[in-house]
Amino acid sequence: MKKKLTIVSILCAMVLSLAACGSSSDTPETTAADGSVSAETTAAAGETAAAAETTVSGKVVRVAASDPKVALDPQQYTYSIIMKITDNVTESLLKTNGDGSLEPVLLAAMPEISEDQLTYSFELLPDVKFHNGEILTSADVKYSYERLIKMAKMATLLQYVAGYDEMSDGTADELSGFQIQDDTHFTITLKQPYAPFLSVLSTAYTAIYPAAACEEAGDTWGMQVLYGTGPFKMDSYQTGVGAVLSRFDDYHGGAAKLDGVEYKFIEDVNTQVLEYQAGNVDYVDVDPSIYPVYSANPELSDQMHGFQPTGCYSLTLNVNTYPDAKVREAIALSIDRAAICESILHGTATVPTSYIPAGIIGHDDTLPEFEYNPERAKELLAEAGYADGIDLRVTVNTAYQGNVAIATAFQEQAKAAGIRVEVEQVDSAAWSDMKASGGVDCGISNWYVDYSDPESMLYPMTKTDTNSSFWHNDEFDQLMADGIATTDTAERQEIYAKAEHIMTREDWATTPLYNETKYYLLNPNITGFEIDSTFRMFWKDADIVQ
Amino acid sequence: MLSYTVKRLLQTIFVLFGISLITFILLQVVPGDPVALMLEKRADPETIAKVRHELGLDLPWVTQYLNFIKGAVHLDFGTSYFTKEVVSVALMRSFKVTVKLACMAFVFAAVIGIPSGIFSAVKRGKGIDTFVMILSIIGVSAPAFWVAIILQIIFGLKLAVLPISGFDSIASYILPSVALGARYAGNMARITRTSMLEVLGQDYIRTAKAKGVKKWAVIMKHGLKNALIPIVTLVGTDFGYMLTGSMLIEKVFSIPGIGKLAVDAMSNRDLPLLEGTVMYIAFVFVIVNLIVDLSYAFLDPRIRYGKGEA
Repeated sequence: MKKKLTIVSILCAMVLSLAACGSSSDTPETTAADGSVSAETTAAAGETAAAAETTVSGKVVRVAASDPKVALDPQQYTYSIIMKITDNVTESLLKTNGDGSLEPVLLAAMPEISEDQLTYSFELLPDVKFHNGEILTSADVKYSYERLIKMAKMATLLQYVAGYDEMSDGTADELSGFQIQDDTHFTITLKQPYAPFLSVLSTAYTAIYPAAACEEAGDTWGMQVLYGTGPFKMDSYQTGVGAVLSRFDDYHGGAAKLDGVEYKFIEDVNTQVLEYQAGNVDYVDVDPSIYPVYSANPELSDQMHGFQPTGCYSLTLNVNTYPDAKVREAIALSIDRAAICESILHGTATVPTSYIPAGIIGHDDTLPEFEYNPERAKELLAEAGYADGIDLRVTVNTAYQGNVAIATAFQEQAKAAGIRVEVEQVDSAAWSDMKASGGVDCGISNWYVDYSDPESMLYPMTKTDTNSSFWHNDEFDQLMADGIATTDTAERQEIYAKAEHIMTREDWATTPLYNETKYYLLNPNITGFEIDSTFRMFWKDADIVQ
Repeated sequence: MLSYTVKRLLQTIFVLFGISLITFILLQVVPGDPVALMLEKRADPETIAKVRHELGLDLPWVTQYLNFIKGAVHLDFGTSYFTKEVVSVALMRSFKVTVKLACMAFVFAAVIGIPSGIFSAVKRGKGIDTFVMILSIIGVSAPAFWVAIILQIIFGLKLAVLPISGFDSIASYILPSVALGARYAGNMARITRTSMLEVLGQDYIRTAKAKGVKKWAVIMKHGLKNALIPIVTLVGTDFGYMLTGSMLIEKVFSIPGIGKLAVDAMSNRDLPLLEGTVMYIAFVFVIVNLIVDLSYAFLDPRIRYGKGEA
């Protein structure tokens, strides 16, 4: 009996001690930004506070989102899921509208551009406040751009600014092309004309941070501290849990109508929609895999909205493995895009006619859809000396399960052309590594513009070592150089249409697969929500109307 | 007993060292580069080299590993490449969540599984026995994520009595605990039944019955007590598994536990975080196994640990 009691006691003690480890709080743990840059902020690193302290009451929109898992800092991480949050906290100098036009956000007017297209003169809006109370100055803009270069990840966005090379290779600490006249006036000088420059300054990567606070925060920037000039301030962020934003009453554009925005990180796409159905979230993305289930639901179909992001999915071929353009063309002809759009993507996608999507310069709307023609593919293979067909290893990133299904369908479709497809599934880290090192013979990938300009769409293909195709074409490169040197829209249209033709219909370095429509569910009581074609979400003008 | 425990704990150091080495080597061998992943969009070779240098990934493998070991002996696994969070802080944060889920799932599994197994053994061959065994097979075979979704739809959406996801209240843990514990409950019922059946056929049980000892006293005191060793082995191992997190359940219910942490670390090739997580998982298993082994001595007086004995 004694022994039995001892065993029971030990087991109870084990369970209780383990439970005690986790019993300190039943609420998600978050770290709150305290609204000021002080010693306390720094000391807050590693400490946690209950989320209950950082929830917002009143008119709050609840968004189901994927967990970014990293600092909310687009200068460090380029994932669009980060910008879904930060676009409501931080702002760039300019904003791109739905029609591609630009409008000033933190500027008193659109910048003046010198005749030689090299010098841009800016005037900041006066008295714009950051969330920590500091006033936006030219020095903050300079700091933010220099930080972007130092962070390296998206530094090449500023590669045409004078002094970029010196900063990038570490021989200069400052960006010499950025000259401050006073607190609200500054100029930026370019090394060469660069037509998309102002579009670049509208991206989330070029958001303006308060210099002193950002510097002081160090590694905690984007994790525990994030200040901007946006309509909402970040109260808390915890990977795996969520982020809480509350209204910034001193917003320079007038306080938002919402009291806050709460992001709930929910990984599973089914769970996300169930939470929406239960009324626990107001916005949720609808994954193509579950689209048919919910689009057929009469209760939800009115709440489902779609938009076409500017970009496309494509099949990229490694020219080192397949040096003959005829073979690459044969591969492009052996995939039945229409069947994939209809069956695997449940009608949420369309067969593309070009790599540059509609809505931006360079899109050629006279082109036919990319066709499925296995007979012609067979002929091309025979002409290239592969009458018996070829073996093709298609690598897909398992983070995009739809791509796995597409590759499997392609495996079957390509048989008719004599192409024997082997599907290789890898995770994101292996995918990125293999792409960079030339380990992907044929891969399914997507590309979306960072800014509404064809240069952003085609840029990756200009550098042999940054595109998984390892393709290089002198004429294409020259066209890309010509395209950024002129601001004449008609001229640019011709240049980029020609460049794309070389890439996708002459050299067949990459072949578009489909243009997708993204769907989301939005609480019908919400008005004024804005989502743009680069997948950026703005809650600034949103309201909840009962 | 004490010397045996100390010996086992000393062995643990070598086990953990070996596991850390294997993990490190495997990560060097498998394709995947955290820097290429970070720089996805504009990953030119110069930028990749710059970031690799910042993270110390350009150092020789041996140096990298020794640096890790130096930190690990002080329980300092470094900081995550991606979140810059101190690994031990991230581990503790996830552990607190996982341990709650594990305890609740364990209690559910044990409370359902063990009594069902006993009852089934006692009623061997009867309809109730068949019913319990069918349920246990369903519990073992039904995919956890499927059970999870069904529970979410019924109790979260249709009846709206429990949260669909999250971990901000004890109620949030009920559905994930049931989804996670169902499989273990089924297993426990089956093992308990088998073990009990073996014991209930022994002579001393017949003797006890013949002496007029009450039926349930025979079952619990003479039967269950002697059937406990295989049950405790299973229960201990199951609890170890639960403590190391469940990626699927954590994903479906949006619970940021150890399973999610490990999967994120692996998919990002976040070496410090992955090494820390693997060390934690290995440590849990070693300790749970040690506790199970030590418990045998309490359960069966014939088992003694010490010099020259095993």
